[in-house]
Amino acid sequence: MIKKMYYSYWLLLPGLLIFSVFFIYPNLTGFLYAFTNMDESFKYTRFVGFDNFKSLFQEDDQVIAFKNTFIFAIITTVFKIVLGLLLALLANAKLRTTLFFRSMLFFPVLLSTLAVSLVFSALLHPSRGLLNVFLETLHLDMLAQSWLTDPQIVIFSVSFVEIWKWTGLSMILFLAALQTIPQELKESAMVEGVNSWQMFRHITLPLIMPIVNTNVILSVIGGLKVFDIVYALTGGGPGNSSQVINTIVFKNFAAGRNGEATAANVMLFLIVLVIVLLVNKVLNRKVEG
Amino acid sequence: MRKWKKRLLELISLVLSGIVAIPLYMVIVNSLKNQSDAADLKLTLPKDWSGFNNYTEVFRIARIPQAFWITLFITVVSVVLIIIVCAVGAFVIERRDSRLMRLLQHVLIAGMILPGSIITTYYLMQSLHLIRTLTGIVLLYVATNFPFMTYLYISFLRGVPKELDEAAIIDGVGRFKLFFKILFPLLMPVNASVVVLSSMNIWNDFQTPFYFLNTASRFTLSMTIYFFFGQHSSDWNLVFANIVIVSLPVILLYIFVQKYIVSGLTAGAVKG
Repeated sequence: MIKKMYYSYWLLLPGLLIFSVFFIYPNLTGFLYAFTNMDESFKYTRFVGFDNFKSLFQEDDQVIAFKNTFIFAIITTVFKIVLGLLLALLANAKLRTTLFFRSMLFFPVLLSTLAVSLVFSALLHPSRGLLNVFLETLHLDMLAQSWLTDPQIVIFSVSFVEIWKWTGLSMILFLAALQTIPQELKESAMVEGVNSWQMFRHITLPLIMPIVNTNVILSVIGGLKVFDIVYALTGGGPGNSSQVINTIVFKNFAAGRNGEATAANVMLFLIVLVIVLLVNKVLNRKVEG
Repeated sequence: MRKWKKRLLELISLVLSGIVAIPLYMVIVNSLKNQSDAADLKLTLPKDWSGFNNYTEVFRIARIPQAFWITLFITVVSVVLIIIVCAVGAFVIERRDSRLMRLLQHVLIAGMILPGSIITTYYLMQSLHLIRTLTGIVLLYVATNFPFMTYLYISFLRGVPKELDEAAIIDGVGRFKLFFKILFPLLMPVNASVVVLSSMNIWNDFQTPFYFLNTASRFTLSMTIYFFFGQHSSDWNLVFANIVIVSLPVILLYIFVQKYIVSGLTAGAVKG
């Protein structure tokens, strides 16, 4: 009685309605239109079965997008976690540089991805870019690369830019977790004669494990859904060597092949679903074990 | 910690800070050079101060003031709507605590993980005549932020005792008053998180306006960077000036309310 009056379902309606119409409904119809020959004006004449999906996996330029998406998600997650954790440990030390260090490292998180992409297209310029100029002054010319125009390495360069932009976020999240560890715990461990590695392995790491999991999941999802940083840095090029799933969606959309674009989007949906379930399972097992 | 160890760690922090600072420095000095000097992408200081003209020029050609107001409008309206619909929604979901509401929480979790369907959303927006409109993009932002932000409010409301509601109800408070006068003020820490997280998502977003607001008269700041670069890719001085102008509001905000940004962000992510 009280519940009905005070916690009326009407209050939930506006948000739920907007969410259902603009998120759930398009996702459901996506599973339908992915099997049609929908054209640029969203008209379709027939169902084509799995043809859209087949063409995604038969054309080389599209297959590479799936491979790149996985490479991107894995590399960026590993680096964001490992670097983020190391940086957080450094940011948690009491040094004269600590405040400056924290603010600096977190700063790229706030910048527009588009701005960051353009800055790096300058920094990674093969002849004038700061990175290659720097390597040349150190006489490390052999390490200088055509970072964004060599099909073999372009996806790694793009991953690096993503890492540069977002590691500050995982650092700040780890730092917040590190600061909840009671000082007395560390002090008593010190008294027991525990060295810093043992302290990290047996005290710090288990206590911040929930945040490690959150960071891994956030980073994997972000990596699989990536669009803007790739699109702005390389447009999926050179050729198709840095395409990812979301740029393939756009490419097909721009070419008026909406059936294929929707199929690619459905594939992304399924991939994110399966991978998040898997990662979640692995992470939970670790916590129990 | 030993002294030399401290000095070493301080040195390492400074070098690492440099990896972030040097690109930013490069952008600023080159934004103040003339076209041919900026094309060298060097770290040297500009020869003279005529480079400030770059800024006035970018303001004019990239139509920055217009883009600024549009981005601000979209962000503010979306964030206000997100706060209202998500807080009220979470209030019902958490306090009802029925089987249906628990099922809905699973839907919310799925909604924050899974990607949206872009092409069919485009089709829907076109059918509803919302494509390339501010109303349309605001509704999309509310929809995409709804699951996570609602979940954030739910986790926080769990810590607010139900006895508070009951006491208020016995005092004869109405349902709107119960929520807005009694519970909402207690939600201020989550509101801060929601404001920080959602306004960061929206202010810097590129993908949504790129698909759904792609018309020169309604470009957001991110869109002006993209299209300005497309037309002036050899004018690095102007491109960099554009980047500085677009980033400036965020930088100023960061300098003045850094503490709130960081705490809002961490509290939000850790809770969620």
